[in-house]
Amino acid sequence: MSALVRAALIKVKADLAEQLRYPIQFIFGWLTTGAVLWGLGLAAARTSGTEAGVGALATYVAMGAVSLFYLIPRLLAGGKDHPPEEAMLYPYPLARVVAVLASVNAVQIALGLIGVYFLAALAVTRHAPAIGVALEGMALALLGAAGAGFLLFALKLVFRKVDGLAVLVQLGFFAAAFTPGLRPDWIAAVPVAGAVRWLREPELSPLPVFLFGILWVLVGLLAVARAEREVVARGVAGYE
Amino acid sequence: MKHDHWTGGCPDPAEAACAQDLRVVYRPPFARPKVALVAASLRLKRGVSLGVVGPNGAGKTTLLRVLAGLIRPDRGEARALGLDPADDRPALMRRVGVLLSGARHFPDRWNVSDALNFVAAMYGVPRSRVGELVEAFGLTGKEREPLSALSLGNRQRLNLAVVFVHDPELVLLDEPTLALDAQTVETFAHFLRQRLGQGMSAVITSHDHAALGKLVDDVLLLDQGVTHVPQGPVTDYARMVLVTDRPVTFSLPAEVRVEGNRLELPNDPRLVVQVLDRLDLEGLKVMEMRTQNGVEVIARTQVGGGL
Repeated sequence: MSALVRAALIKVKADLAEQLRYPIQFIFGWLTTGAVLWGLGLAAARTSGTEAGVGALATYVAMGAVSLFYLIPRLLAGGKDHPPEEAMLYPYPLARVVAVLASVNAVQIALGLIGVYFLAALAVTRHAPAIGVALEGMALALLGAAGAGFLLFALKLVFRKVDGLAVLVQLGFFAAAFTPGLRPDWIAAVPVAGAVRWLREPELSPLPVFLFGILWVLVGLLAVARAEREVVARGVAGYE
Repeated sequence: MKHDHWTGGCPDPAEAACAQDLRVVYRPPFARPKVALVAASLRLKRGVSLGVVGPNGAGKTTLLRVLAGLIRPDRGEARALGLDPADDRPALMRRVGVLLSGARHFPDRWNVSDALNFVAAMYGVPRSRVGELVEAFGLTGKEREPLSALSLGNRQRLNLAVVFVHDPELVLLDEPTLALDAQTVETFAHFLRQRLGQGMSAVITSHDHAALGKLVDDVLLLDQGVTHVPQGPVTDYARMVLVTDRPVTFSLPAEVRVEGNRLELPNDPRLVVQVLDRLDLEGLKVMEMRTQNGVEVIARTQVGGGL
């Protein structure tokens, strides 16, 4: 497993080196992301003060989680970069490869977006936000989103074209997270929405959201393992 | 031949690769099934390189995919290094290097070192090994070049280097010489021969039969999903065709087949030079000079013209 993590870190380093070749694009890309998310958060909250801060943070967290969900099927099945058939030429089960790559991606997303959130909050409110809460919320949201992403990756392996479904699920996550008044108990089981609800109601225990997140990840990875067997049986790993 | 037909499955775990009577059907969801292999068999001893030739769509890449564990056959048995490829693929991949459709894919934004280091890390191979391969495949000085800036030939050198990162016991190479110049093919052939001498085995497909002739010991013909074993050694793989500006009326070495102004001869550099000197002496101009798909031609001749 450590070899796989090392390979994933090499991938991160190589990707980052490429981004740093274009520093203006890199810096202003993140600045734009920070400003837009902050604005969206305020607009969504339609309020000021603490609630506005939570609203903005919820937008960052939801965006991070949905980004991970979007990226996971593309980590290996995105065409030319790492086609799944080639990922299957390495000495690991596919579920393990995608789990490690997704974990490294999740850490990148969390650090990047929470970093931008911290700077944006500091610039707007002149106070450092509670970074621990932000990281915890992001981690909870990423966990569920990763599980759902693995499920979608499994579907993509077998059926190849699932982009329409992916967009619908992304919209569903946003809707469940930001529909006013939609806060039933079962929302803890819904990726992204459970974490956003916990951010808004921090007096609740984060444990159910965490446990459901773990469940999503396990189900997702089992689905990837099943899909791997299916594509070998059908001979379609190399199909675009 | 070292890979004669046989009966009784793949009982010998010491063999590098074995396939017996494979039938493979691609079954994409919501699409018609497509039969890719009907009755394919091969047997490969350790230290031997086997070429698989045949027309487009014959099932060559599918055969390699089965041996790499990427497709489970409908019928028949496959073994690679004593393992069932479809069931034991992760364990097998520690010992096998694979190139499919002549390419390995990496993000274009990566450079040569990124790609090699990534693959080395995936196998837990030390980085020092990467340096050896960079040198062996003529990539010295190009380590920092983005892949998008590499020529096709250099990209192919990288594709090949990647296959050998973990020092595999068996390589499955599908079109390994795409875009390689003659000198690089020679260098690769030398590299491969060294590895074969150390016990590595290879199954290689290629439409560049002049190059293939330098890389393989035996040849198997695959046509419409069925394998055919040529009877007798195929030693005269690479053929050269010369076309002159007028008919040749003088005598040439016996290995040269003359039909008017068309000459066909083994691609032996000394013989080619000898013939070119003679043509020059007689005042003939060479209008065309090319290699011919000698392996497939010879294999088909030996198997029979009905294919």
